[in-house]
Amino acid sequence: MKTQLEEIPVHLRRRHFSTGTAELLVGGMLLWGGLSFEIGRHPFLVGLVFMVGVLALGKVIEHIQQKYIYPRSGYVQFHEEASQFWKTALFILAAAILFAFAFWMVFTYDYAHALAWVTPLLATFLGGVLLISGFYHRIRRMAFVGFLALILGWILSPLFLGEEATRGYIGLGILGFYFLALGLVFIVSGGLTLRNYLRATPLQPEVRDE
Amino acid sequence: MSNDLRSLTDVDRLLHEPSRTVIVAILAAVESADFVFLQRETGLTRGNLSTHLTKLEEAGYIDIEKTFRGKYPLTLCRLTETGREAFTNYRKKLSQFVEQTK
Repeated sequence: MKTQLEEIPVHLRRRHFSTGTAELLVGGMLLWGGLSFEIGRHPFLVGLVFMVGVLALGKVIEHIQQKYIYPRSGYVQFHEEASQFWKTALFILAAAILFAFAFWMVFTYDYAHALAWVTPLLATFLGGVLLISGFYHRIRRMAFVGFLALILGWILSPLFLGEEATRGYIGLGILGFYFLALGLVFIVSGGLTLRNYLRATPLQPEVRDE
Repeated sequence: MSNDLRSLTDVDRLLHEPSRTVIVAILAAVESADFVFLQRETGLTRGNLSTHLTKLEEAGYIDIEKTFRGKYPLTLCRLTETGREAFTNYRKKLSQFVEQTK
């Protein structure tokens, strides 16, 4: 009895990710962010294009939820406070990245070189968070996306592409390309999940009658 | 019968019903949930769920609010402090009982 009751929050949170809309939103944001980054050159323009795109994307996801998700699964709002586990995990990852950056800046004095390592460090952060989340919530799909995020970031690093191929502005361009690729991974994963969800979850009879 | 075992007879009868226990356990795990979500999670019929929710609301264990999210109508249910306290006590009593009868 005790175990079953304690399983309820985990079970509910796991179901929360079963629709794929969260991945579609994140994927869309990453894709749009990468596109804005690659197309625009002026920081203000990039920010503006990105914000407009994100607002439009938010509306689309909200529409999908209202039309397809809520009538099937209903609406649920979780407690807002982050658990100690998350705070600890995020603190460790953020500290690791800050430490890596500080190390590079202090010992190499090479800004262009440090920029080239932004993509793999960010990939470590994102991939790490997704891998931990996936295992914590027992969502294999999320862990797999995290693994891809991690691998993709390190493939686009100086370690594989070479030091000269990633220096200066090209280093930042690679970051935009990483966002594009990762966005596509999220969208494919979210799209497949949403398709499976819609197939497996019929409308509640009472809602259909209304 | 020992006092500890006898204390089970004082258990909250309103919560000591499987459907209501599940409803309250779900609401204890979330901030709020709507009628369709509770129906899907508990597997109860609309009429059954409605009856249980009314009983819990009359006891002051839950708040029910009818609202909208966009065009989607919501019947939002939320556990009150009284309900949370009652559920905690109920779980304690059940745990004690399980320990005593091991």
